[in-house]
Amino acid sequence: MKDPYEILGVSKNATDEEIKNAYRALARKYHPDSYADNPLADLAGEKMKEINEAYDAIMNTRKGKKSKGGSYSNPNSKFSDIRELIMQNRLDDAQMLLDGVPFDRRDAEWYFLNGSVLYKRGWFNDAYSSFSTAVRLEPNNPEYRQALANMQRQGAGGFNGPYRTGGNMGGSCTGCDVCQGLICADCCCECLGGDLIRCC
Amino acid sequence: MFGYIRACKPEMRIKEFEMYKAVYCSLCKELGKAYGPFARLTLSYDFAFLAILNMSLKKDGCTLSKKMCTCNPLKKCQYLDDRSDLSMPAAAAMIMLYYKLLDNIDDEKGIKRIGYRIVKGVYSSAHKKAAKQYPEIEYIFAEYIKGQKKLERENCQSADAAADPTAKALSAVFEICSDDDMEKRVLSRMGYCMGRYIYLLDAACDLLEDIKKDSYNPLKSYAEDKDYLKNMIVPQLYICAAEVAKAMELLDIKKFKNILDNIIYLGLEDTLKKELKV
Repeated sequence: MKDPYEILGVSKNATDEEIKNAYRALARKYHPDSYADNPLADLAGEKMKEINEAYDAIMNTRKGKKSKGGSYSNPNSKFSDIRELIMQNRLDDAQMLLDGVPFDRRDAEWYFLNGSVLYKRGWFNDAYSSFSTAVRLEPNNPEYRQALANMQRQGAGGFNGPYRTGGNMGGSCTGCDVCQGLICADCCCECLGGDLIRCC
Repeated sequence: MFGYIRACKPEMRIKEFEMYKAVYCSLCKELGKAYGPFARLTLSYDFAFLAILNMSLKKDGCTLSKKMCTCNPLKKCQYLDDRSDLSMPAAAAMIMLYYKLLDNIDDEKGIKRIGYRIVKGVYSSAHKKAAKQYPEIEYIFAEYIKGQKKLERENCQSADAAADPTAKALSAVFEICSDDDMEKRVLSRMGYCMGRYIYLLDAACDLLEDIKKDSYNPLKSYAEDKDYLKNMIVPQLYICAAEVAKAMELLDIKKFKNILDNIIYLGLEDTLKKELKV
């Protein structure tokens, strides 16, 4: 395994809190939920495994966070064969089976799986329509709602990146802050009868 | 369709901007050297991005030297000492230009058409050279134009289907950046979503004019909703951008991570807001 500190992007002298924070940030980024319906979900899963192993190796006492693996398995599914194909990224085969289902049997689950195939293909507009229909037909299904919610969240923008924009980059104290602090301290001191800075 | 993949300059560190500019200038030099002075007209930051992506996956170092500008002898620019990784992006730019010219010849009439025909003649031997060196890129763009023409003929009004040829073309070009199968998968997804972003943004920018001129545009049916920008186009572009980012995070990037992060996390959003005035 690569150096676990390198994997988490922390120095060997990092505190437990810093390591935990670094782990959390990476876990958020590569979490299976972020890569649901993504054809690269397996690669993200591998990355997640690497991060978990690194965290375990460093902390040494905690149990690793179990990766859900972006599973499509659902024991109650009528379309378990299609779900299996989607999990294996065999999109053409899955589409063929989906297209083979007659119109009167296309229920909420059909629209959800159709949306998943479309999302993996990159046809996000049709995927969104399909997920919306699935939720409309079965509003209480958490799987379908999650898929639609993910798309709505992404569509609202503001996808978080590591790029630090503006603000104080790493330091929290400029020259102005120092002077301000000293002048304030001097005033307080003078109020109490002393004098910190003789010339002010 | 060019100029949509650019950095958000105000948020770049100076050293990153200097490297970004150096890649752009080096690409200019490479185009001129490989394909003649007129080839420099195809230079854009989009291909500079492709060059940066290509180089980011390779471990070797990247040193710069200051030399006289190829276009302006009174200026000095920073150039990459080793331009070998620019050969593929330069060829892609050249081949793309040639096919765009062919497309314009088909679409335009009269004096404009004659003009494009003359320009095509000027670039003919440069294109042949690029196609010989990178036959896979030649094939990619030939297929792209074929697919594009088909959906224009059929007046395709599905945003996804219309974006598909461009998305697939960029997906295939990105894959060339690596020989590793896993990396190719990631690059393929990244390129697809970026190609989709470019196509849809371009279509959205041209929509009102295309409606006026009665030219093809796949978004005409969506424009019936007067809030179509807010309800459909902007969210779709954000989803594309987010997916590009997700793919990029799975790449093993050896250098230029900050520049790529700027372009993907800031540039894509910045550009869509500026171009669509939202």
